[in-house]
Amino acid sequence: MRIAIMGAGGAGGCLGGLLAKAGNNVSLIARGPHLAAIRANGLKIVRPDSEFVIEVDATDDPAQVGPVDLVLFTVKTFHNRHVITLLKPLMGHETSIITLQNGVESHEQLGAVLGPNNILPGAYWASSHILSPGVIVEDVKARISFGEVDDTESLRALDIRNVFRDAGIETEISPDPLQVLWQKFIVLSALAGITSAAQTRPKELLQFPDARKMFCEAMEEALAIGLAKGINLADNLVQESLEYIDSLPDFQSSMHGDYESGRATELDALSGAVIRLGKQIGVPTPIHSFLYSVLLPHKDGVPGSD
Amino acid sequence: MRIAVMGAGGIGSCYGGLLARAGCDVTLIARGAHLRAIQQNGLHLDRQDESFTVQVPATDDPSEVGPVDLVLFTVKTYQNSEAIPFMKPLVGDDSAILTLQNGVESAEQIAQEHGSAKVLPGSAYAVAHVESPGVIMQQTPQARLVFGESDGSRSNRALAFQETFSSANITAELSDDTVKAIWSKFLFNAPGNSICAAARTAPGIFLDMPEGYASMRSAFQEVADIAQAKGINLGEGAVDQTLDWLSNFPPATKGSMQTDLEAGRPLELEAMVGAVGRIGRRVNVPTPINDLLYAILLPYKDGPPKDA
Repeated sequence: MRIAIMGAGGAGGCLGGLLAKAGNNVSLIARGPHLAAIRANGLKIVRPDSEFVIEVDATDDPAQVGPVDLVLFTVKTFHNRHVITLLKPLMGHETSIITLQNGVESHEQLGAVLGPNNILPGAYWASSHILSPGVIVEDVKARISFGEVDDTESLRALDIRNVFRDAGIETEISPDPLQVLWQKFIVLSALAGITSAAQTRPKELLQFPDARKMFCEAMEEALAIGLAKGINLADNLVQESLEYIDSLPDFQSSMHGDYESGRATELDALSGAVIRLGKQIGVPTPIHSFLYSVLLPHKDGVPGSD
Repeated sequence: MRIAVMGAGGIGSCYGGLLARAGCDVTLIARGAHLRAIQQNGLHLDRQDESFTVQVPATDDPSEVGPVDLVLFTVKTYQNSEAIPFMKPLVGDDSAILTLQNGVESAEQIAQEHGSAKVLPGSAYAVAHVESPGVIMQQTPQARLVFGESDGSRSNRALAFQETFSSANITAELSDDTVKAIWSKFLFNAPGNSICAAARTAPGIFLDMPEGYASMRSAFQEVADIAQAKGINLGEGAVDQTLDWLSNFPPATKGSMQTDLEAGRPLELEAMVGAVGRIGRRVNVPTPINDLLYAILLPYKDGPPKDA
């Protein structure tokens, strides 16, 4: 399959590397020292149980890639505004785009510019980050869930799933991708918010009963919004999510990592979106509003940081 | 008048240094590298308009000092359980102990050990920290304090202390309602210091953002609600007046908890937002924002968590 990875950072780079290793025709779209390192030395992926280096096409110019079968849209959400229009050279008659970003708004933002028919919303469950230019570390193994907004099990979705599975990526087609997006959003917005505000990793922070309570209450806020919007979400989602996070090995939320490194954070797509969507539908969000306010001074990172 | 400063950190050294420069008989009780630096080179105070070094006696052993007329009690609140019995040699029959600490619980804790008649509750209005051993940086232009007798009386000793402070260029306001005075500081200090530590941002910058202002206001209101439930009258519009005052802090002036957090030191969390939650529960006033602040900062209470 001809695949372009728009945003070859922690998530995109990891998936791109695995798909390329399985023999797909992959182009990474990246920038700066990371791009230069991939071109010079290939892309190195360090997984929990193995590591490899793969030579893979990489560029900062989508026009050099041309139309592809599949775009994985994996830029940080705060780049959406500038990057979505850059996708046009990648788009052919039958190009599909899977959004694998944090938050619940990206597929609509892409759909508004490129038309909704080619967009498949997806969620990426993993923890991976750029260790150094050209090197990506995956702490928690990638798992993907995606699907058609209209709930059909399309042939294109089946094709994509098979390509991903052949590359060793745990992938499922969801009959209700918005449900999946919200399930992730509810956990992630709460977890990224509290661990970034506390500057403490989940394993350490969630030892404290006060922090567990806050985590659950923050999830409840986003859950109430999802339910009010008619998303199909289970009542015991909060408890299940807490157990899921407890079951994971030590990891760091990407927002906490970005904050710690002085980079811009996805605050507006996480707590910011909870507040925004809560206002739209009349659900109060005191915890996310509080988290947003203490994280806001660092939203755009420290000038001069990568 | 013999004065001992029990806990010559940022605030204690600042007031102690000003008193010593004015010729008062002051001894600083300190520890470690800061103590050694003061003993060797004197105490250096960097203020906005001036900078001076003063030779002042300093020790880590209160029994070397003996009973004094006034103890300025300025240890960090989490050191109270250790420091309150430790200062016994300083406390004679006629000694007074003036607490200038954060929080609202210290006066009672000192009274339990030394008797309530000896204790004068007070609030320090100055931001100062130990910049390096022996060197104190005072960020606020003024060194001000509010203090008084618990019963509100204008006692001879209180008046004498006020005169001594004034002679040292310390603005000392004698209050006939120390509970109100202490809670007026607690109103902003507990949530404000904590929220700025959590946001790693100075109050002047944090309050410049509408979202920050709203969070801070909610947190202050919780403390004001507790005060009201306890029958403490902070005055009409206290929350908004305090927010206005704090908004005008220069962007570079950081709260003590942020300074402690960034230096990897323990935090006065229990005496600040911890106390808000504790006291709130006793009087049935919910304190969700202060509870969040407590939860957010808890991993750093005893210094940074091991993975940070």
